[in-house]
This record gives sequence, structure tokens and C-alpha cells, in this order.
Amino acid sequence: MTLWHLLAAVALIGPVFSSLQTAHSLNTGLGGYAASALSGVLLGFVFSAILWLTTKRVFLRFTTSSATMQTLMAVLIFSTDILWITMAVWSAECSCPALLHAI
Amino acid sequence: MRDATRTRNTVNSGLADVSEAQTFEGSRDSVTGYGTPCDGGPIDPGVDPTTTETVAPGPPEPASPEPEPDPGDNSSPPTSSSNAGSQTEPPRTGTRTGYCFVKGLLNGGVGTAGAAILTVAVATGAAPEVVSAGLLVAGGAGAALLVRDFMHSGIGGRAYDIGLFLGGAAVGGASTFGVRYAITGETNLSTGIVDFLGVNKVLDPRLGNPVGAFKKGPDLLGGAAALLGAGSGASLLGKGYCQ
Repeated sequence: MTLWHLLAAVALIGPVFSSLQTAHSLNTGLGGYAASALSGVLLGFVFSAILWLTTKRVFLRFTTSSATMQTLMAVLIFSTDILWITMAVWSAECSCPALLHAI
Repeated sequence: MRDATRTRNTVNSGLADVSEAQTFEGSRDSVTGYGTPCDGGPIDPGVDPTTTETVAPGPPEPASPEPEPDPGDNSSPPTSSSNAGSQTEPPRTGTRTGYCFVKGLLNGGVGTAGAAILTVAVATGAAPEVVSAGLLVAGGAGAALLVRDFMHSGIGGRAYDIGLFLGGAAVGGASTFGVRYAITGETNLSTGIVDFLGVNKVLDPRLGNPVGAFKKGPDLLGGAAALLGAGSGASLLGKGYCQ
């Protein structure tokens, strides 16, 4: 289990928590919680899969590069992944009220 | 609703005793330090809008009557009508930020140490892949909570979160080798950041699958990050004053 696995897990879990917290703050009923959890899981899967596949592709591209270049890319990707996770949490937070309003 | 009438001596200036009769008709029977619509001060939002205050006619008040402070009220009420509402307690943002940062630093360190001890305790009786998967879920959930909390906190809360992160990173980094050893019994560990990020496991399909990664246990950086996440997530409960 590496840091990369952990980042993918955070990208998966973060939107779920965010959706549930938003539903809690909106005082929705049981159906609202279920819809929020479902949308959070879907968003989490999408964001996590994109993070996983993109990171893998970028690492594969720099396989033949020097060790310094690989290290630099690793740090850059780690920073980008943190931003990506923040975006995942934020998007779940924004989409959840809209979804609940539509329902 | 009940009526309460009380009279109090507010000023004894030497010239004359000024008595003020106040009649309150509302849901509360104590005078707070908040201003009223009469003196231009801010209205307590908690007051029942039907509350009325009637001041009995009497001799005019002197220019600067200091109201008696309510011992249970820590707010600073306006002292004159000219600048009522604009005078507030000076902000002590720096002190609060520093306090919250140190508090987060300590709580993050303690929480991460607790997570490390718990992981070692579980590792004595569970398989490496089970411990790794549990650590991954706990770390991921804690980190997600920390990210969300950071997005929604004020300056004190963010200082607390940064303190949590640094304290957790320090303790997690210091304890990750021992945790890893407790899980897998392995001491020959790589130290390159590329290995930590799992690039070798990506390139080798035999090790790139999650089960294989879990069987090998957490590597040093992944274990430290997972411990940091788990400890920080638990330490968010102790945020208290730092919001």
C-alpha cells in the first residue's frame, strides 16, 4: 500500500463524506441522505478513477527518464492529486444541493 | 410573557441621585449589555421582537452614565450613543491563530501516535492485507475529513488543521518504520520517493493490483500518510474553540 493508493482512496471517500455532510446541513430526510450518498459514491468513483488512470499514464511516460526527473514528476503529481481531491470534495458539495433541489 | 418592573440607581454624581425606572415586558427578566433601538446600539438578535422597553420620564441622565456590567456577560457593550455599534473588542487574531496552531500540533501528534499504537496492536493478530486495507480506509476517511474541514474553517480552524497536519506528519514519519515492521516484519525498505509513490508497482503488473499491494503492507511514505490521515481525522473532534 503506497501513497498513491491512499490518494485514490481519499478521492473516493471525500465526495461521499462531503455529500452526506451537505445533506445533514440541509436537514433532508432519509431519501435525501440516500440520494446524497449515491451521488457522492458516483462522483467519488469518477474522480478516483481519473486520478488512478492519469497518474499511471504519466508515470509510464516518464519510465525511461532520469531518477531526478522521476522524483520531480512524483512531487508534481502528488501536488496535483491533492488539488484534484479538493476539487472532488468541492464538486460534491456543490452538486448535492442542486440534486436535492431537483428531487 | 410577564411584566417586570424594577428601579435601580445608576448614577450618583454628587449633584443629584438619578433614578431610572424601567419597565420590561418580554420573555426575559435580565438586562443584557446589548444596546437598544433607543440608544442606537445594536439590537440583540436573540431578543423577542415583541419586547418593549419603556423608560419612565424623569430627570435627564448625565452625559456619560456608565452602565453596571453584568457579571455573566463577557461582551463589551457600547459606552456612548455616538459610537454605539462601532466599538468592538479589538481582535486578537494572532494570539488565537497561534494558540490553535499549537493545539492542532499537539492533538495531531497525539492522535497519530494513538493510530500507530492501535495499528501495531491490530497487526499482532491480523493478516498484513487486512491491516493495510484498514489503515487505508481509516487514513483515507481521516484525510477526506481534514480536507473538507480545511475548506470550511475560519483562520483559527485552518491554523488548527495545519497544526494537525504537521504534528501528524512528524509523528507518522517517526513511527512508520515500526508500524511497517509490526505488519510485515520487513526491515529492508526502499527510501526513494519514486518507490514510495508506487511507480514500480505500477510498472510491474504482478505488484500493481491492490491485493498484491496490500499483502506487501504499507510502505514508509504510504504508512506515514495513512497514520497521519487517521490520527488527524480523529483529532478533529478536539477542535473545540478553534473553528
